[in-house]
Amino acid sequence: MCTIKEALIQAKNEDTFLQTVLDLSLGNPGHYQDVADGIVYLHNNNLIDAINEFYGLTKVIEKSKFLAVLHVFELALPHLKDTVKRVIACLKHLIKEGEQIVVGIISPPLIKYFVSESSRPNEAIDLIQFDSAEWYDFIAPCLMAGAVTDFQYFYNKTMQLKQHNNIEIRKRAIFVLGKINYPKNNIEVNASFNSLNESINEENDNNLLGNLVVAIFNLFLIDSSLEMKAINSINNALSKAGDFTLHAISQIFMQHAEGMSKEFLSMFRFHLSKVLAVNEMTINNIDYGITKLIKHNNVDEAIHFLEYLLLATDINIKVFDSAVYLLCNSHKEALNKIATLWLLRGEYKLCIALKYIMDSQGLENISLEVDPMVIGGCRGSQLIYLARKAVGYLFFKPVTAASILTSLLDYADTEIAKEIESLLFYPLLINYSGSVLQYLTDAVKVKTGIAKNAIQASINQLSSYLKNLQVEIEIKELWPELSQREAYSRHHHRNMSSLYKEAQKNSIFTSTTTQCVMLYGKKSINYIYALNGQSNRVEIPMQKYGVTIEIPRLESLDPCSIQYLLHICRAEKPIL
Amino acid sequence: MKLIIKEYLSSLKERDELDAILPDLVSQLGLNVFSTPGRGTRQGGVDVGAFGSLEGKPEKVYLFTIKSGDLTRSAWNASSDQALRQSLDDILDVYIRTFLPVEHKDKKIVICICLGGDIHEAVRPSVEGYIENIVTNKDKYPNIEFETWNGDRIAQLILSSFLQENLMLLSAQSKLRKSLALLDTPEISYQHFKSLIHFLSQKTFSKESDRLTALRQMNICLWILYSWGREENNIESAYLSSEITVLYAWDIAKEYMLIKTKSAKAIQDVFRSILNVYLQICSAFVDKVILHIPNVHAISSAVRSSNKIDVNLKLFDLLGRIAIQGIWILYSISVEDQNSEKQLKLRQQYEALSNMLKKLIATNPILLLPLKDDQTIDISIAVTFLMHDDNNHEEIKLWLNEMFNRAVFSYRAHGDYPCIVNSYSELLDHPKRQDDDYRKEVTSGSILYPMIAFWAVRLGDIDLYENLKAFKQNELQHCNFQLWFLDETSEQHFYRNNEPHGAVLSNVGVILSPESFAAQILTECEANPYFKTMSAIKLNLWPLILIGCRHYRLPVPIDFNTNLL
Repeated sequence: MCTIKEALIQAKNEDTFLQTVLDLSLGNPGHYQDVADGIVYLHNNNLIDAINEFYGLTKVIEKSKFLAVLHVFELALPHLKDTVKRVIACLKHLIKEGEQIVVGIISPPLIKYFVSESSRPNEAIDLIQFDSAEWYDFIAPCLMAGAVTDFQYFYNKTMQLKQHNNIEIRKRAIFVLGKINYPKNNIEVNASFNSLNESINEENDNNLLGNLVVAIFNLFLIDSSLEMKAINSINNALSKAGDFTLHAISQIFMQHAEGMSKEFLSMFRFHLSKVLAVNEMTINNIDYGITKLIKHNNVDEAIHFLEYLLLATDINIKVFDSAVYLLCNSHKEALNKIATLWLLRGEYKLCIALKYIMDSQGLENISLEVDPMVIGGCRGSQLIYLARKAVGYLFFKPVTAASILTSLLDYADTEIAKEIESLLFYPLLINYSGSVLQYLTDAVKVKTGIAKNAIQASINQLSSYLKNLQVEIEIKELWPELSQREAYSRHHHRNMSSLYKEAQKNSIFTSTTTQCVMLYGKKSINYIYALNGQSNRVEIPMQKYGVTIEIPRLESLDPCSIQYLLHICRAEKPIL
Repeated sequence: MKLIIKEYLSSLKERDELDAILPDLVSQLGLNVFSTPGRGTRQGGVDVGAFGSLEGKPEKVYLFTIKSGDLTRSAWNASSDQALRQSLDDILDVYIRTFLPVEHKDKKIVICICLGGDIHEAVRPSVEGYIENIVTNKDKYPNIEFETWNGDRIAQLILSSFLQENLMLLSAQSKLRKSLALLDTPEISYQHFKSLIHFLSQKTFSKESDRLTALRQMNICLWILYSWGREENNIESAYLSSEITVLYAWDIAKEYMLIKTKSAKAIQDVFRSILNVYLQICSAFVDKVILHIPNVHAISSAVRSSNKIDVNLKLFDLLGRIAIQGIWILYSISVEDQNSEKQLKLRQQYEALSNMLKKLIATNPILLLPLKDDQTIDISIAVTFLMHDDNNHEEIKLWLNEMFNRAVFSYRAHGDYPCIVNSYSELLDHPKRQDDDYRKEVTSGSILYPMIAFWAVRLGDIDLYENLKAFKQNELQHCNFQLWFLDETSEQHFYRNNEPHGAVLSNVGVILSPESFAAQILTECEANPYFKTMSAIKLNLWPLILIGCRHYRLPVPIDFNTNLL
């Protein structure tokens, strides 16, 4: 078996260098480094011309393969011995072929490449100054690397370029001011800050302003005493910001949400609420930022953030899938708080979001409790308002709705309890005499006082209702016609079937497995072949599965009343 | 066929049932009936008296004493007046001596023991011993003979006289058998029965006797269907069939209702008999449900469907049926003497039933919103019934207001708003789409809203009228508010619904002031004479029009609320 180096030399000779790089790298993450090391060795010993070979990488190949080969080059680049001009020319080609994403990928290794020989940043800056339009993609790595080797020279260079006529160069210089490694307690931090602050007033380009706010925030990270100034500056910049600037601060929020002060969070919340629903990347950043807040136990701020965004924008809660998942699966109290706050506010967007959270996370029969901190100061009328909102929006999650109502009873006086009791009976118990009755029967055992009495009274009302209903009465004349029963059955089956197919489309299970339809029997006989070719007979018993759905009783007996009640409960205005 | 009839006979009760068909039967056999059963005390043990010749034998007097079902020991010789032995003693000791018409005094008398079932073996010796004692005592009873007409014999007679092959073709018998066999699928059973009624009444009657025979056949077939349905605990087919039978029967009999000849009287009698069966079925139907009405949702639950459309359709249908029963009570009140004991009793019945109807609406809120525009027919019948008592007016107003509010809410929310879709399978998808185009399409016409507007004006509920007017102006401009009127062809086609008939007043002026709206309707009613010229109106049997409207799903003529009440 030949070594990686031998294989690479052979490939070079056979003109299959990049394919071989790909073949050798794939299959094991560790192989990338081995192949990169091989390339470095061969290139530095003049056995191959790696720069020349990587010129062969074009967008003709699949994107995933392009990125895999690029990754090898990324690993090799810091250690290659070659002229700056050849290296950045090759990188320019790769940027052209792989588009802007390549700039982000190759910047860190390029900085390392520049840093590894102190003359390289100077060489690069000369080239760039000679033809800045040709090489401006390399300005930032060059300046950042240069600041490592000769801070003052390259800092001054950066400040100069910040005043350049070419906006593309200014953009990069501004970016660098936030990124370079300032020596400890360096007074240039303040100088940079002031300079950036001045640019806020002078610049209007959206991308440039994005770089500005990132740079200012980075300076604040270096010197926290700049916080208030940074907030003011970013506020100023954002006052004339567009999508890109918002995207930039969404990235800051994503990366630093957990450590942000209330003031910063408040400012970010305000500006990020201007994001448009179509800007998915920006919204994803916000989602990750909120997720970080939750992970770091800043749940109140996370809820506040979500609430603010939902109310201020047309964004659907479902785009915050990471935050919602985390809220529902690790912070039961958070869900209680969301339910209490949002139902109490009664805003349509918030309540629909709550409903979505319950639906999307499969929280079928979860019981919630009102948050004592939120509910503590509420008046009786507000308790009723919250109860009616819970009924209106969570009617199809009856146990959840019932649990909120029962928890409200703990804060209710006799009069309020009477109203909640009546809501427990109608529409909850009367419609869901299975699941809700079971829940309340359990609840009545642990509750005391007014709450216990109210729950018991609602259960008694149900008993009396069911007794009078006399479900056993048989009046054949009232039964639907056979043809109608059959038509309904066909209609129902058709609906179920299309829903099933719709659900299957999104199923991970069906996308990763093959389907095998068995018409008879209750076991599947399979032969499994071992590596030695021997077969083993295996019987796999089939499992039954099923779901039970409790249809609201009044859905068929009195649909309009229920729809009307739910509509009213949802539409009621908050009590001031 | 004979077994079917025997089964039917064995299930008949004595009062109003077995004795109701016997006069027809003996008339059809060629005897002249001189005494028919009456309510209350019978005349000396005789249920039916007739004279004539049977099966070519000499003419005799036939005195029938009727017992339902089998003759058991208790039915033979119990201490009550209803025991057969007591009835026979009464005939011998009282009837023949006191009540037998003088022209038949010296004739041979046959005392007929008429049984729906059979004589039990245990009691047969007693009966035979009794008969032997009488017939052998020639000194005391010189002209007396006995015959026993058990279920088997009566079935044979019915078959040979009513349903004999030349009178009722085998195909018609087959329709009857099918309608009986399919009682548990009432809609199919009814279709067969309807086809039978259509068959019996389609011929052109050249003689009055043909007309009479057809009516008698319809009567006996309806009886058979009802008794079988009763046994199966399902009279749905009988209910629907009785409606169509009474309407067809009226179409056959109507021109004889004012004639005083013997044959015309016979036709009138048979029509009344059919009407009685219909009323009995209506009453039996209402009795089945009325018990459960006070319990919330009990009737809606009894539909036993998880589909709201089924519940809605059945409940409005039930509303119409109970209201029709009430309409007959109203009718009876109108034909009884003012303040007579009977009328007072009927007024109590009216009050009880109207309370029950209101309770039905209160305990089954699905009745607060019709799904189909044609359910206005049932609502109209109910309002027509309830309007008769001023004490009901507030509740009618509440009902109509609630109905209107819900209709508006559902319309705006694209919910289950009233629509003109009639096909059940299309209703399952209603509303098919949540868009304006679909909503406009299925609300392109309405009889519901103009009727509500009309009652609002009649009840002085101007707010309701104005709300409806605003709804029409703002949201239902595309909808043709209409009212249906009878026309010159209605008398010919109404009772059989064999052709389209009637005329529609389009764009009813709900956009006018209440007074102008009412005036528009009254003007049209006055301009249109055809309601008053309908035979059922002229001959004062106006509930038949409401039965026809209910059965054939025709709008209730608004004249009912301007003319009759």
